[in-house]
Amino acid sequence: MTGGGRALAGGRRPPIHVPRPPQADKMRRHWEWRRITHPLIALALFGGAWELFARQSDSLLIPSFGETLASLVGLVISPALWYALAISNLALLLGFGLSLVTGIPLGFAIGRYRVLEGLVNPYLTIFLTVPIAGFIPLLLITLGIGLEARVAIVYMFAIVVLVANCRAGVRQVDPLLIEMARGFGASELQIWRRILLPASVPATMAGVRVSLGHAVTGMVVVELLLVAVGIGRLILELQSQFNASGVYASVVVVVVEAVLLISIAEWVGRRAAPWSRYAGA
Amino acid sequence: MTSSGLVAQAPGSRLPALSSTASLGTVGLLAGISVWELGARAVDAVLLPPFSAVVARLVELALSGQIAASLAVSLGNLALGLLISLSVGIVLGSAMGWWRSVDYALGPYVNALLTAPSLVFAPIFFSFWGVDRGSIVALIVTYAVFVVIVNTSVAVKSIPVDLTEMAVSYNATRRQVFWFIVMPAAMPLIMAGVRLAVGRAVKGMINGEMFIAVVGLGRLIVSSGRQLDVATVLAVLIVVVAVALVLMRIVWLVEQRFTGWLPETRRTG
Repeated sequence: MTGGGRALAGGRRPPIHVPRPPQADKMRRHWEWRRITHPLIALALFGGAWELFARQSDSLLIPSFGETLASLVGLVISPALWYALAISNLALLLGFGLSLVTGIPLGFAIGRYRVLEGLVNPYLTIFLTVPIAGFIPLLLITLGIGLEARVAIVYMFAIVVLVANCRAGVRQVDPLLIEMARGFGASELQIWRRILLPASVPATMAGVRVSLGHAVTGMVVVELLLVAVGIGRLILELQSQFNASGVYASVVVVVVEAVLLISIAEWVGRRAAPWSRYAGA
Repeated sequence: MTSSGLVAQAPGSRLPALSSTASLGTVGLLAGISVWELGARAVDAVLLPPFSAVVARLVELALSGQIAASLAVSLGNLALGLLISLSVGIVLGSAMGWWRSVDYALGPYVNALLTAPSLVFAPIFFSFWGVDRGSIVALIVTYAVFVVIVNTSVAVKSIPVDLTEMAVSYNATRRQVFWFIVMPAAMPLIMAGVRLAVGRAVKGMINGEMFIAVVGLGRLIVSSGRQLDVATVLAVLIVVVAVALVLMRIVWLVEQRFTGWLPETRRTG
């Protein structure tokens, strides 16, 4: 996801005080009108092609671009959408909050203590590779189909990458800094407060951003796959009513929500660590 | 996933630390399995089968041919999806890296789709292909393609200017610069994108099969979950993890071939 936030950032970057390699300057571009006009042209071309294709195929299941836009407006002014979003986002809020509270300390601890890292590492690898959705049936069996199960699934989706990034954040700190501090008689607590925590802020915030994306995914996945409530239920209901333009419009709503949330996380991250450009994240 | 690029090891302590990490990992894994086994036997609940029962179930499934049959279908879809993702992703990503207008035109959408939950597009694909492998392949592509596009475009964009300037001063054409300078230099980052894409494609495959639930390993998970057959669900998940790890290993080997000429520090693995 290198440079994933490039376009989302709207082109404004805080002043950067650290010296950077020359090629990085090529990436930081100045404001140009093309940044607005080109995406709009692309959208118009895409919408036009879609409209033509939909009229050509004339299928009940494939709405035209115009119909989808009309449905989108209809959805946004209907209370049903906001009610569904509220139900979905409650699970998101609880699950993501829980993973922040537990995942960040866990990641820090793993990054700092090698023995702990060795013990936990295989599990981290497994959970980074396995599709978390596969655990949904197990969680439903143990927790039922209520809010608890949805919160648990959002939690599982969000925490893995958060732990991995926080670990990396602590680990990338130059060991010489720590040795030096220790040489001047710093306690473990001081090392954490003065060196490890400040140095790991950029990687942690990048982890928060990515894990928020995973949390939104978890929220949608569980609702579409096994527990039909909230926005997932709305989509499935519209689908069963053959309201194709409604399905497309609600998909757009979910994508917009995800992008909005992640942009907010990115903005917070830049405020928290203005000296970083999320190198490598 | 993203973290893999971030993980930096303390310089100097590389080899000994790695080997002790590996053996500690085995200890951790064995400890976890024993706790699971003993705990499950002590509680004796239907919902928590001991590890040995899961392994027994896995062997049983493998012998009955159920795993092989589902796996063949799943891997076929995965291969097709990955093939499409890689070719489309690398072409589009290179175009975005090479021409600034293409980057401006597509960048916002690619980044949005990279972060959005991909499964939400499943109902749309469903309206095109119905209960068919087309839906699953399309979903796999949605999961995998955007990370390839983004990594490729960043890779092409971040080529050091010195390299291209040097080539141009020796009278290289733009086409030559692209094929002989930009592509090789971008290869490490592109391969990093491919590695991420493989992981995401496996997730897309399982999620797609769970959503459409007529074929493959995903169907096995959903149907045994409905029958409260926890042992089967866990056995299938073990297979999925194994598949993902083997695929990552294959990508790593390919990566070695493509980027083996690079100095150690420029490789992303």
